Amino acid sequence: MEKKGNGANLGFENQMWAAADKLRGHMDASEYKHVVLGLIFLKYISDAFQAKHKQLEATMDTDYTDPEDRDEYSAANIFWVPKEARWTNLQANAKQPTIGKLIDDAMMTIEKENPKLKGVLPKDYSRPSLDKYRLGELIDIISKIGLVDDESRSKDVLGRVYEYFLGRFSAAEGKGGGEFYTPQCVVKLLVRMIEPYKGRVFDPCCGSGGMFVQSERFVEEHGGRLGDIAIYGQESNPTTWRLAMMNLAIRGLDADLGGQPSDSFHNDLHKDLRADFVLANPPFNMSDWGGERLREDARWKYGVPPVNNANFAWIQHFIHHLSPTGVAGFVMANGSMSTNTSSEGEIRKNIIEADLVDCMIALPGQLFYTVQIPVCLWFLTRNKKNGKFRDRSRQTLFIDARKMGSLIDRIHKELSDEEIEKIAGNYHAWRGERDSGTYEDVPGFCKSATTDEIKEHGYVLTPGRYVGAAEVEDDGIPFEEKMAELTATLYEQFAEADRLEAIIKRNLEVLGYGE
Amino acid sequence: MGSEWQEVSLGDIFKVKHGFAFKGQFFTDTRTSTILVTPGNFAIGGGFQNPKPKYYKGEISEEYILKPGQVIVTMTDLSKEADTLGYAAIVPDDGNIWLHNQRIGLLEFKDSFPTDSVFINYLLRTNEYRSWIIGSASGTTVKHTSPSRIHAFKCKIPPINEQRAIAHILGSLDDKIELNRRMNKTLEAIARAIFKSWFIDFDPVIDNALQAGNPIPDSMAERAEMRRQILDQNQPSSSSFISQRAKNRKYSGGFDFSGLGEISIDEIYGLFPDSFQDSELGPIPKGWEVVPLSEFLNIIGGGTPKTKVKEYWGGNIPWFSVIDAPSETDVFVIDTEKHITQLGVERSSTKVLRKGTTIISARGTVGKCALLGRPMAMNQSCYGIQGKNGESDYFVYFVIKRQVSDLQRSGHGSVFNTIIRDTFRTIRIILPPTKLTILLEDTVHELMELMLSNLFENLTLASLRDILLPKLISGELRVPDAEKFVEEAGV
Repeated sequence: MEKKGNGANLGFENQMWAAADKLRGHMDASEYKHVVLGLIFLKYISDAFQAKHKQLEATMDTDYTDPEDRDEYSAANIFWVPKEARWTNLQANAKQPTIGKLIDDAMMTIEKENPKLKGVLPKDYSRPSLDKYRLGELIDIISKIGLVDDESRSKDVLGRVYEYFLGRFSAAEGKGGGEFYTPQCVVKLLVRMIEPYKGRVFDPCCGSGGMFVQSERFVEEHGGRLGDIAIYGQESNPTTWRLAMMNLAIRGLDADLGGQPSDSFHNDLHKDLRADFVLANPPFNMSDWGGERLREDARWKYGVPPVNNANFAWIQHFIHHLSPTGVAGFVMANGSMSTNTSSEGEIRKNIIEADLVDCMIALPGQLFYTVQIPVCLWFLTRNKKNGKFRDRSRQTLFIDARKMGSLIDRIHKELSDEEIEKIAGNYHAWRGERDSGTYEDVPGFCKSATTDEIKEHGYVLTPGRYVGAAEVEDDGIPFEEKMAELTATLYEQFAEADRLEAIIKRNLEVLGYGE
Repeated sequence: MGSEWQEVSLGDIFKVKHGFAFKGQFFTDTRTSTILVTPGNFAIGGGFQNPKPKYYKGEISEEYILKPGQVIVTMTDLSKEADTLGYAAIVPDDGNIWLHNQRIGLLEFKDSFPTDSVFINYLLRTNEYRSWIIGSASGTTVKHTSPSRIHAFKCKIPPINEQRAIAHILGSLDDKIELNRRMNKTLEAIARAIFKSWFIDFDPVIDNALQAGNPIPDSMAERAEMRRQILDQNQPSSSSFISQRAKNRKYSGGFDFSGLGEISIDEIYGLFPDSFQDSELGPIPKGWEVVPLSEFLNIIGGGTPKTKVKEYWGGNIPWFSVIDAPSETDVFVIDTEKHITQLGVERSSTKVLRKGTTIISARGTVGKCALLGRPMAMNQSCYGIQGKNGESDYFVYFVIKRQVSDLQRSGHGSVFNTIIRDTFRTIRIILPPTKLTILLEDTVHELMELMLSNLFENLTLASLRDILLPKLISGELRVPDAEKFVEEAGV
């Protein structure tokens, strides 16, 4: 049994992290991240290559396979790793002062041999500020990953270590550093809600690609094939974009991240994409999104978003990229559900009246590493009567999950798999999916509301407004019994009061302060 | 035995024992009877309080379970003024398991010196001791003291009998304060039980319907069965609290009960309907209404006089902000930390609200309720709430209190939940006719007034204790013939 199903918790990652982090020295977590993740990546593609190499070697005499034939590798979707770039070579030279240069050369040759990775890999391991002794030790630590497992598992282990380190780095970097990292339980919930089995999945602010990895896992868990989903993403931060490219390469995911880092608002790299699923966690309440240069745009169908907050620009960007039957699920700051500042209230109203809002979820606080504000999930759908599910025209499901989640340390909460299932299960039942049971309103937790009710509430989407109060549990004690008990206590207290008053009076008299 | 006071260092009479560093990962919000003692358990001015219990679910060693009656001191203080640093408290006998946490010192008394632990508890509230502790504290933002610094404090203490006498005098005052608190808890529970029985459970309506043979809605079948048993066992008029009060009470004030004269339980029941009708909130008593909160309430905003203008501050008008909110069971607020002047009221948007107004905090800490025990003003983070008929103060209070969770749930905003005027429009409640809200008013009036007078009494008792304490502990005011006193008091 694995500890806790929710995290990528393999038990040894923690030790790995501690060991690797010890070598950090005077480096910023943000800088050190690229050093470590680059090496893990190198180890990963080298391992995958070696595994294939071994297999080809074994069948050399029977099937006349050639372990040095690069076509064999590209056919199996494995990166070709030239001799000098193989991990065994680096490991052997780990303690040489030239190790930095060796790694850089390895990265360079890999990029040259694999055009897909062009410009993606870090190539500054030879810089003087990087302590070569520590670098060597780091290589030793990373060499241990996967060794204990057979080859078939090592891919997943490395992938998960990569993911785990990504998460830990975002925690270590602190405020502002973690904008690219969405906690796994939130991604999982988003994915479980919209179930991207088949079709085009788009994340226009994809960060390090966590949404895609989770979607892939979901497809696999449900017996689908990787090829059933096509992945599209965009990311503006160049270093984050490279992390995403490596992350996806490790998972063997073929994704179109637009070929370069770029800003989704000002340089939309997927202009004509109409996705079946949008999954996203855009930066919250972004104030400098260049909105003043985008006062007119085809995307602003429901109103021009204010220049000082990009929330409703993102929402409309998502809607714009949805196919006629597409579904979007994304994270937003709570303010988005109730704000009436600038044009935001009006845009929200128009989106609601266009009958796009399928479900709203209020999440518990403290889920994110770096953001303290409470957040919510929005689920939009282009077509509420698309035949796949029941006709939900002018209906919206509200779920208040604020009481869920449990602390994993003193300041961070996590949703458990059971809680995720409970939330998503309710949504699926409400959508009328087969085999998901019948939906019922649960006071204090979920409520199916009509658009007219939303209108009555001034187009505010805060779930708490709709789900009502949880039933107060009645103690079941009849009034008369309760009163008999309480009055008996009261009379005792009256008697006690008399006694104490007498004592106090006497004490004060003794001190010379009688009545 | 002489009656000489002896100069001692505290280290001569007790040793301060450190607590255990309980693991943060086992702290929990889930209610259990195992609670960590933290610096938050020490009241300003000394004494034990339990505002925000920190529950613990991990393994516990017997060694770190505190016993009722033991004296503990806090050795860390987060506040700027070190409000509670070094203060003592006595572990309460309340059925909870109190854990001896780190930074809490437990006094282990030495046999060599006869001492009364309650006396020592008061000794550790004196100015002299406090100045020593704060003066010798380490740390800049978080102030610390240590066992050795506590041990080093020098003072004079009286022989054991006089210690006991002093402890008894001060202790009886504290006992009465504590008793008043407990009594208020009972009084509040009684008033709330009546409110709930009448307006939430509709007991009188169900009783009437049963007696008249009218249909009971399905959703109330269980409750009705319970009521039927009660009615079979005994007539509610013979035993219940309401009837006893009602028999002695002539209803007048506010509502015209003319003709009723001395009211009996039958007459009270006569004011409730004997059947139910449908509504958007399910079945409700016939003739009652479902209305938005805003329809029967007046909502009043607060304000803050300019803080820079000295003339506006330090007057005799209490000025409420959320920190002044009373504990759940105290209900009333009778004083506030800050006070303003009449001029401050005139030159700002704050208003003086009458006694009986319910205040609810609406921003920041949302949903704290208070009934005004005397007229006061308040800041803009609160709303003052009064019934539109001007008479149903207690009804308004209990309704608001009950709706607090609803109000919080539909709160606005991203960082803080806030309550806005609009919120009162979105919450709908079942409103009985005015004659019944006034009947509640009259029925619980004395209970509520007794709570209020207990609170005022507690202020007096506390001042009395605080003025006596330094005199008695220093020996400036002596207990004449302490030996005889102790004997007579049986302590």
